Amino acid sequence: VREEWLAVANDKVVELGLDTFGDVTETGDGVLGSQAQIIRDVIAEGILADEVGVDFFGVGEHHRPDFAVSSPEMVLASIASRTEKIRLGSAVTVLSSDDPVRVYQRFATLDAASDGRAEVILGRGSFTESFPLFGLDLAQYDELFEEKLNLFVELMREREVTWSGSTRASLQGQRIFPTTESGSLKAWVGVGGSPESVVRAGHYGLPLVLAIIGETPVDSVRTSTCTAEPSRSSDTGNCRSPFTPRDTSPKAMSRPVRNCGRTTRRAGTESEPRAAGLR
Amino acid sequence: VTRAQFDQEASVDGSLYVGSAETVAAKIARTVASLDIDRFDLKYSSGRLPHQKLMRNIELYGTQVVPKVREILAEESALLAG
Repeated sequence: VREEWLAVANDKVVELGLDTFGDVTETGDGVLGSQAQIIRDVIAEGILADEVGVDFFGVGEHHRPDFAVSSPEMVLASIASRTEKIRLGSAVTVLSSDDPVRVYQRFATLDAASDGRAEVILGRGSFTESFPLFGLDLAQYDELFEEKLNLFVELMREREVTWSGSTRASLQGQRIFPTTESGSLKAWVGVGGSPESVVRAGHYGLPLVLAIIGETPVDSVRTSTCTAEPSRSSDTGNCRSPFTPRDTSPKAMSRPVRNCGRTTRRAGTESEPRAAGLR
Repeated sequence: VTRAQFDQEASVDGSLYVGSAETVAAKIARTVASLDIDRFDLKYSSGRLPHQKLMRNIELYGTQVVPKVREILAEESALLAG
């Protein structure tokens, strides 16, 4: 019986993955490696992760001297060409300071190169260097992500897109290439703990990757999800109200954790450090 | 990070998954079970920690931690199923 359960567990089960930011590391005697070497190291790490049966390998995007990776999908493409099974994703892609069309194209390309193993985790970024770097106003932190996520969700349908907004040129009956073999990219929304971000993911029905940076995972998720109000639940027919627990009395807060986890599974979350995938 | 903060985060209730494969697997299984999630990702990079140590980390995670997590979860499922 135990063997049967193990078989079931290994078949369906939770996926167990690894994330890296491509931190610039020491090579010996406190000497820091070159960024080029760190990138090659991350590629070797991704290949090893595949060899030892890890389910997912995530690479973060940063624009700082202490991290070597600013283009996760380039690193992932290299890993893809030397692996067979492991799923490959960003952790996260800073959508706010990127162009949704280009992000879709790059990850659709990775999806082709990896034979359908690409995933993109879309986030706002917990660092802010990319905003001035790409000429964006940090004051539009929320608006940029909101609008770009809205467009990205349209692109995920892989059909003609007509869209207009204030953060990017409008699209009129536009198709985006390459398209994926499965019909859509696997996309998550990454959340560092902001309840608004959880609501946003739920609004679009996207799975959520939630960063657990401190405290217990249960407390962390509770903070992010139980204080979130389903503010836009009546906007569209597709929208679901993902968060039922609004009673924040101590008793309610001690119980709804599982409820939160469950109701949030329709939503998605990101994670910077340690990520728990909910959907 | 102070020593006290580190100890807190490395404890059963913290967010650092540090220790033997058994310790880490038990902590991950607890997180997975309590949140009912589809995927758990461990961020294995940590500042300047050298590549060789990260490779050892990945090897231990894949060959020891992951199988142990699955074993613990399977045992829990079996218990729940009676």
